Amino acid sequence: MYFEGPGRETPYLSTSEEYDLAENFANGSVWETYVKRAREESVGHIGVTELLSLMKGNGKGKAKWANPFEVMQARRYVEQWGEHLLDFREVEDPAKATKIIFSKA
Amino acid sequence: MKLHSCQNCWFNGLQYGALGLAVGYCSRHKKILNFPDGTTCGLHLRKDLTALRAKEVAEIHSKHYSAEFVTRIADGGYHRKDSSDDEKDLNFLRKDSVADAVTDYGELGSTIESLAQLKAMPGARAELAMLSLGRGYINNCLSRNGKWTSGLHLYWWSRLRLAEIPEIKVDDLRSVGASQLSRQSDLTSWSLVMLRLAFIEDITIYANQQGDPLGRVQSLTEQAASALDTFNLRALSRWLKSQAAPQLDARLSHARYTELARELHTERANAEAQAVTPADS
Repeated sequence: MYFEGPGRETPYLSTSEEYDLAENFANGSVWETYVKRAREESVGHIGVTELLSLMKGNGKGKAKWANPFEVMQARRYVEQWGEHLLDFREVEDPAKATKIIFSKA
Repeated sequence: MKLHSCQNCWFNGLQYGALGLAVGYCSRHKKILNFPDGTTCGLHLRKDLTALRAKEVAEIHSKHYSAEFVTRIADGGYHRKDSSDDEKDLNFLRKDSVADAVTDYGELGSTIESLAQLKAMPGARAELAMLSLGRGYINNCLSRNGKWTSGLHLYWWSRLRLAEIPEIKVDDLRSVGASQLSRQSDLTSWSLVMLRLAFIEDITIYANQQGDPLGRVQSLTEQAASALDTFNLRALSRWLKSQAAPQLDARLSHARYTELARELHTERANAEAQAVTPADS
């Protein structure tokens, strides 16, 4: 499921691991993929547990961010909505990779 | 969770994340929002950010979406069924007391009256509506060269309940999300306190821009996030009482609030008198 939109330009794509939630937010237009499939296209995966451990204070490692409040809000979203990330930093053409790895559920 | 959707916008007083009714209401477009998790517009301001950051992000967002219509985030398209201003729908929505005040907001110049009405209502949804629409109200006053004190009473009401943990009832929730019901209730309660804190921070930012001592309070949202590593509501309440409240009170005591309120009242009375005089003469 896509969570992106203009104004939220990052090399990461937020997704939910909860199908029902994705359906609720996407009004039926759910796109799905699997970690294995994403990795085949060099798209990384940062799971819920890893995200929660990184998102404290100003964030650690890949989750480092200037504003701790925004890190905290993001941590709440991870727990509340089962969000996890696909990581496109190593991908040459994210648009192409997205088309390959996602299929309409 | 789509952070640019109508449910996360200042102008929708009926929803925020898991909290709220099944439908939203846009106080700018004056429409019921039937698909608030999937729609947006060019006027969108994110509720989950403090004012300056919300405006920064909105700059980019507004270049991609029309300000005129409620449109789909996915393709920017307008779909008639996504929103409604049908009188039958509105009358049905108004059966809810919070929705009644929210749909009244801005009608016949009744902005501050609606906010006062919401302040007096019990419950998390009433506070959500007051904070959400209140942010828009103050921002609007400031954009018309108004003073930060246009939000003085809203600030004070929020300061008085600063450390109170809002009770979330089962029918306040529109989704349980990925967690258990009780955890969702706690996280939702946390999100509302953070909205309260963001609202107070907006006022301190505006006060700072106008040289008022209240503006010297450092970002409370950032302080809270640095001090609290887990979503523990008791710890949050303790922190608000022992750390946040004293900082605010040192710069705006009850005595100073009373004095500013008196000045505000006098200014309004004078402005009204001036507005009446030309027509009388």
